[in-house]
Amino acid sequence: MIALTSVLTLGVTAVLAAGPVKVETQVVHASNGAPHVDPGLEKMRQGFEKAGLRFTSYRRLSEQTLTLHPGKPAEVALPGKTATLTLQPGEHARPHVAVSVPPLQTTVELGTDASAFLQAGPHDNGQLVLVLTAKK
Amino acid sequence: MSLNPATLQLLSAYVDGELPASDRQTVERALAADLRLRELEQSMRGLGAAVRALSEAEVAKVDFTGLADRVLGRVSRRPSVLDRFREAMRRPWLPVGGLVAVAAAAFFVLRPVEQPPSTAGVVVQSVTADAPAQLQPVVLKTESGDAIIWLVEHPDASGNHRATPLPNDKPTQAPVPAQPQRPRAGEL
Repeated sequence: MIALTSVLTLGVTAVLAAGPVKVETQVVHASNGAPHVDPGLEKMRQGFEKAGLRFTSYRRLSEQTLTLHPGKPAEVALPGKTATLTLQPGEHARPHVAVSVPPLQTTVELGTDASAFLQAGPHDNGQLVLVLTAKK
Repeated sequence: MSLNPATLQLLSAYVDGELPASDRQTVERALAADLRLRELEQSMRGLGAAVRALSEAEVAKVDFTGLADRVLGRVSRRPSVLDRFREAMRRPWLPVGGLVAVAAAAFFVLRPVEQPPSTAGVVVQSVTADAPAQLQPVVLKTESGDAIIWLVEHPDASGNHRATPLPNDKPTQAPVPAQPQRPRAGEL
């Protein structure tokens, strides 16, 4: 029983340490144009409003799911720029992702059922927002 | 014919009809010549009839109903779980192995377990920005655990940030003041 438990523990640790991670990325254009919220972005709108950021329009420009491997950068195209995501190697209970999207550089721990919203600069009388969500 | 053991055995075989023809004639001649031998022969026949009658009477009393089932039931009866457990416990290795297994199980059940870190929500470990000096990145947390990383003008401790840094791109001021998750020492 001890041996079996040890094997299972080591196996889980190895998965946590080395496994690829799927991250859903969205590029959203938030502006104060004609009121509009794309399907699936109402929660984002409410969260922004409660945080003191009030936009009237939330439009999804692109959406994709990336499979991140430790130490290997992956790119997300935004209008006029590129964001780079890199899964940090090491043993973590949840993925640590380094993100470079001008003008921000950040490292976030992506948990379940939550998203990271990164301001990605001005665009078309509004702001670009890079949304990262870890997929289960 | 004298009454010796061999004669009695021969006479008994005659009464039972087990003699060959030559011996049977010899016995019959002796019976014809000897009155004691005839009396003995009659006694043997009477005793044999009595024994057979008694045996048949005893057999008639016995109830053989369900005998086959009872016999087969005893032959094929499997020991119960309790019997098998008792039998197994008589083996010396099993109690020891059982105790080891129980001790191992108790160790894993009762040992203090570190609570795994919560996997809910988003945590921002670090954030920097290539932006003018008056703009600083702050982390705004939502009730659902989301994290908003935004540039604000002159962030202060009040948390009443104008969460918009860039001309012509500013969101309107929200009525509810934001509660930023100020980057803590060591996080940035």
